[in-house]
Amino acid sequence: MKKICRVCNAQGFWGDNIDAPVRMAKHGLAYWSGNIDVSQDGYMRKVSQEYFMTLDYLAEVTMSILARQKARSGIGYARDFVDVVDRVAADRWGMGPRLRVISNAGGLDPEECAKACIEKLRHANMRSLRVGTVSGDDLMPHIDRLVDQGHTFDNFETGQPFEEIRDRLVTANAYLGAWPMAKALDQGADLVITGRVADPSMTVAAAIHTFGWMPTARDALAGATVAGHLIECGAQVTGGISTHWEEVPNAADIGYPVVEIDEAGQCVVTKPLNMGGHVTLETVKEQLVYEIGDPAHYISPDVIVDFTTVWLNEVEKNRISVAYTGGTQAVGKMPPDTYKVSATYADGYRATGMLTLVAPRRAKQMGQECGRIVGERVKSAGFKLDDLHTECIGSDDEVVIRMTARDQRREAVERFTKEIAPLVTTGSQGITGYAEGRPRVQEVFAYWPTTVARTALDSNIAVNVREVGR
Amino acid sequence: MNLNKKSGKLQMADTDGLGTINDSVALVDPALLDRALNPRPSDVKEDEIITGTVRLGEIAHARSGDKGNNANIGVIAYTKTGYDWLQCYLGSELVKGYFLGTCLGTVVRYELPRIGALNFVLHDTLGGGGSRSLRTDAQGKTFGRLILEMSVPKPSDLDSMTRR
Repeated sequence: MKKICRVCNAQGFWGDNIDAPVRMAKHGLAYWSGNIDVSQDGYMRKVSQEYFMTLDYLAEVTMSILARQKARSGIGYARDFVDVVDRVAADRWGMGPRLRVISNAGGLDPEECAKACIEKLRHANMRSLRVGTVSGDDLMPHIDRLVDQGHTFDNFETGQPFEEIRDRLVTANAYLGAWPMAKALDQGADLVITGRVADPSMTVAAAIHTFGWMPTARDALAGATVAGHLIECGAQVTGGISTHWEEVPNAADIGYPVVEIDEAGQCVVTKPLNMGGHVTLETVKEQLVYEIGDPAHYISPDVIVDFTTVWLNEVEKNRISVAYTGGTQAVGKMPPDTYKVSATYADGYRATGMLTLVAPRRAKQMGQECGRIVGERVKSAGFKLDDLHTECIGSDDEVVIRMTARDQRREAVERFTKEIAPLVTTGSQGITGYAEGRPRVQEVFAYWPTTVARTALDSNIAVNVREVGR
Repeated sequence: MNLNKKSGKLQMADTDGLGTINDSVALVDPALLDRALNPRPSDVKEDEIITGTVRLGEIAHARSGDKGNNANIGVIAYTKTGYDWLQCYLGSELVKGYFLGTCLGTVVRYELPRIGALNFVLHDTLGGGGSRSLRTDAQGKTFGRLILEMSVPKPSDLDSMTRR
């Protein structure tokens, strides 16, 4: 008998299919209920009486969007998640094996997000569920003190000093690791809501909780990190955006991925078999290399992993096993003594306008010319734009002209938005497609990657678990 | 991407969607140009005659994405022989040349022989990254599809490298 920790991902980013978590909980029921107890690879699996669902809402600059949303409406978390909790609660919680959800939807305000979820769960009469939060990733309340103490927050990509952007800083959040989330699970949380955490750490937390690993179990942690990396972008490992996407079965009902992690940290990547999509050697390889740097040093807050030792094997259809050379386990090294920090700063304004141009044999040339005269006109109006970028997307015969302007001055970008429509009467013959009105001016948030010493942050990390109650 | 043999310039004809200015041309490092026009991969056997070109996509599949202002492209061979060939032929300078005008920084290549993949990290490539980038493809999502259109010299044992 082999104990297995099952983790699925049902949201790869904020904006992913809003039905995926509900579909995974509902239509995946046959799967979760243990139809695959006896697998063709001969293992009699002990079906754990619980499974985990990870939901990722935070891309690199999402925190800045939440910061603006919070300034406008007071809500600093991903509201979509609260609806998901509501729908899953109505549908699923309380049936079959225990579902435990781990999500970074808390954004800038995990506590407020938890309150909103508790409200929904209470309404759905799920009073015995427990909701946990992990907070402490937000550096904004501490940054002045830390700078005074001599911490630097220079850009580790470009080497630029923090002083250049300090007064324009909008958000700064450290990528926390798995341990606080595992603690919340240990304390019985059915729902773990966090701010910024490393994406694979959500999966690692489930495995730590299931197997009781210690921080020194680095090889096991490394394996679970690979598992987390493979599912963190949802359907990208079940056929989404794959090179041979046209071969994906029933893509409309694409299943989201599941990893079955064993005590050594090895895993099988699969999906609910009654849903669409497929898990193949090709889809898993593509996702393994997705958004990585040096594969021999994949750095997470929990462990540094060597991806070059990964062996993949198709155990059966839609079941890919992930093993490692040099024995059965992954190779993990001690994680760095710093946390990666994803900061954002205000960097002016932007707007994008698009028109369609049909001009056989000259569309690209004429399209670029239209972009150039827009720049001329904005300049004549008194604004030389910091940046104006014209793309002509299409063929030599017809293109979509996509013009994007960026400037530190909102008025300059606003002026630009008023110069798109005039092209319909003053631009090249064959120009059309002005139906959406003037483009919207958006704030630009630039990305500032930096680090912070663990010792400076760890005392701020708090885990809080409570029952929904009455 | 077209090589204009007459002018000796590399033309980014297929990258409009990436935000490269149309018809932008840039002078290529002569050594790079020579290599692209007269491929001499170190594993080509002496008696082997190069008979035309194939799409890289015949030999490999790919996926690309972003980290800040850098893009990464994983190129995965369909077979072991395909990987050995790619490992010899597909150097970082070739990838840099292919994305010339888009990739402004260095290209670093990493190897994952167990799964037959090469990982290329293209520095300073996304026009600032995040919401600062003015490009349609601010996240390098299209690079994987694009790199598979690269013309490579046809390996004599191509049959052992294609998708099963």
